[in-house]
Amino acid sequence: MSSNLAPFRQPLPANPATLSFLLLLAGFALASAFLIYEVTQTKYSRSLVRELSLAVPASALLGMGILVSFVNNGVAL
Amino acid sequence: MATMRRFRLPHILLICIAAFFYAAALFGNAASKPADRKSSFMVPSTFTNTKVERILDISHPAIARETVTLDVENTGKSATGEYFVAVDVDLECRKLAWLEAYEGKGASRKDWIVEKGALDASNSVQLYKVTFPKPLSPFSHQSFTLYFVWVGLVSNLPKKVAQGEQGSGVYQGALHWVSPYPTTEEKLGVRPSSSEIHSRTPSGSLTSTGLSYGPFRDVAPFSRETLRVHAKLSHVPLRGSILKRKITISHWTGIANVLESWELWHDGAELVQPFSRTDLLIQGRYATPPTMIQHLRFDLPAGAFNGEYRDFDGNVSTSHFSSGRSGATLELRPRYPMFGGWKYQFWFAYDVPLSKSVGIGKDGRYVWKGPVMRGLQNVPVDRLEVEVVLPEGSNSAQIKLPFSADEKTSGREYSYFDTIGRETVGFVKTRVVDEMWKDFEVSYNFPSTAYFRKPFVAIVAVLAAFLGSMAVLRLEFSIGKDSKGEAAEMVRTVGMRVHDIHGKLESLLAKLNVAFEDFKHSHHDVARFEAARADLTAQIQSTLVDLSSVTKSVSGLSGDDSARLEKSAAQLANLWIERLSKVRQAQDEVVALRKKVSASSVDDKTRRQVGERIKKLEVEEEVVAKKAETLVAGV
Repeated sequence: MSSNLAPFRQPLPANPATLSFLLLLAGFALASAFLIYEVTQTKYSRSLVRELSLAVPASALLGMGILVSFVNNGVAL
Repeated sequence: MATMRRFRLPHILLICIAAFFYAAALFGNAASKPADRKSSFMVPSTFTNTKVERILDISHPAIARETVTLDVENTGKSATGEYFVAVDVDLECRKLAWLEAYEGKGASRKDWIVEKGALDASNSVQLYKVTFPKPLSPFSHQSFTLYFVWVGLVSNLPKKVAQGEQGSGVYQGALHWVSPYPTTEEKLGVRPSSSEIHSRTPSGSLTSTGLSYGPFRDVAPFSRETLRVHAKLSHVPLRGSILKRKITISHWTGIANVLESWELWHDGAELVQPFSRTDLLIQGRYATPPTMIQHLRFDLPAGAFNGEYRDFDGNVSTSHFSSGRSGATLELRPRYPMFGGWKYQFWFAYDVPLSKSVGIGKDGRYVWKGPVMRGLQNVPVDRLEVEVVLPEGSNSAQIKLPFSADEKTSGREYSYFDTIGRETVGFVKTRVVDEMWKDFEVSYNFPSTAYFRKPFVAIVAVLAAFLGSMAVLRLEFSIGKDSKGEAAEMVRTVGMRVHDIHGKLESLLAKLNVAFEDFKHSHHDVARFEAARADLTAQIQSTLVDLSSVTKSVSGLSGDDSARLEKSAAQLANLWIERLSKVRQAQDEVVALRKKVSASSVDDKTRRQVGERIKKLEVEEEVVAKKAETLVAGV
């Protein structure tokens, strides 16, 4: 690029494989906890707050993990 | 009849007046038409071409390049800087791909402005206006060069050849350069497609580089004489009928993905007989048939990676992609060898890092820069469609081209994780040749908040799956009221709650034991221990109250399970009361002993007796604990 332009910087590290793996791992762990909770509780004992406290962070980690994994695989997002 | 006679005269008069006006309008139109038409444009005879040297390069049959070096004199009475170039209408419409005018060579070269001018219908030429940097005064001379690139000037002759035979082509064009000005001296050099020339008209003279014609002296304006050269073709004429290039810019991935979709034609002479694989195998042992295309080589930009090559049948494995510092190369082998008249449709893709193609301007706008196309050398493209897909969230895109496009396009496209879609800008250009492989720019605004759009979409999508599963688990799928099932569910719920309460009681008891151990071994402060014990005991008792209230929710339910659960919970509460009492008794013994020790000395016998009582109480507590454990396991 010409010198009067500032260089472009990618928001993620050049090789985000580890980041993607860690995010997905943490996300799956929380998703598993959510699943275990859902199947072990009865409909009278299930707590919405407890469910959301597992589902929201699991979604954040899995969502971000999926995105980073797409980036790692070179998909033009 | 009487009525008809009465109105005949005015009738005739009316018709005559109408006819007069119609004729006047007709003649008036006819008279005014030439004045409105552009064809009336006459080139002012202000120049004389004092010297014209043309070099026509038809060595590549698909593309003809013509360099015209001119020396012109202003023979008019006033200074002028507008020189007109004439191009045959037929050639202009279908064959002219590129025209440029410049002065000097190499580093001192200066490009001049060339604009499409009026149509001179009387001479069947399209005029192009070349503007000199400064007006040329009368009797002054100016030297400059015109560079034309034509497509499809060479046609196959013969039209059909055998499978192993080499094709020939014939060029038919103008011997004299068609100019609106008189020419004093003109020379023409032709570089044919091979040294094997079958025929040439006029004959001219053979030189080491090809053919030479002239010098011709005092050539009149618009002078037309045919030149015909028929020679063997040393190159295979290929042509891209459509090339679609889609460049997807991704800030998240940091790449520009380039997808090129080609429709490639072999424009050489067709085969006389149907293609024979057997003949090809036999011929291939000695030499590859000269008209056959087996390999294609594409030069790609530096830093290109992730090359991919496909056609309608899927991935084609016969490709070789290599990337170096100066550039990358993609060598493809079509799925089948190509002969004259055959078509091969394929596409390939590669990625280019954005660090090499995108920058940020001082105004905060992103600027992407890349080539219009990078393809097969000396292969013209009939129609080039370029589309640049910008990152989602970008806006105010502007495109800057090195030439005028036939059509500029814009739109919106949806792809991975998109919500509002991605803005696209592009252009269409017909007849694209190697000389037009220049860089173009696309600038756009991209607010940094747009980066959050895609993670947000991904997170919401996953969260929706979680919320969906939560909703499904809350739905009732049974037909009618399942009171038995609900009762069983309630019993199970209360059972789980009893387990939880039992666990809580265990942890409270453990805390009590810790407080007691602290008292025994650390602080020996009776008042402090009593306070802690009172607090924990109160918590245990309140938890026992919880236990009884929990079991009340199943008391109204019918069935053996609910009755058994209620009974078990009551037994469990009693066992816990008993256990707590044993623990407290044992602790009281120790506290009493501690008080005695601090007041006076205690003999060994008393100590032994207290120890025995404590041991007994501990054993009893353990028995009760086991009973409670067994009871809870059965709930």
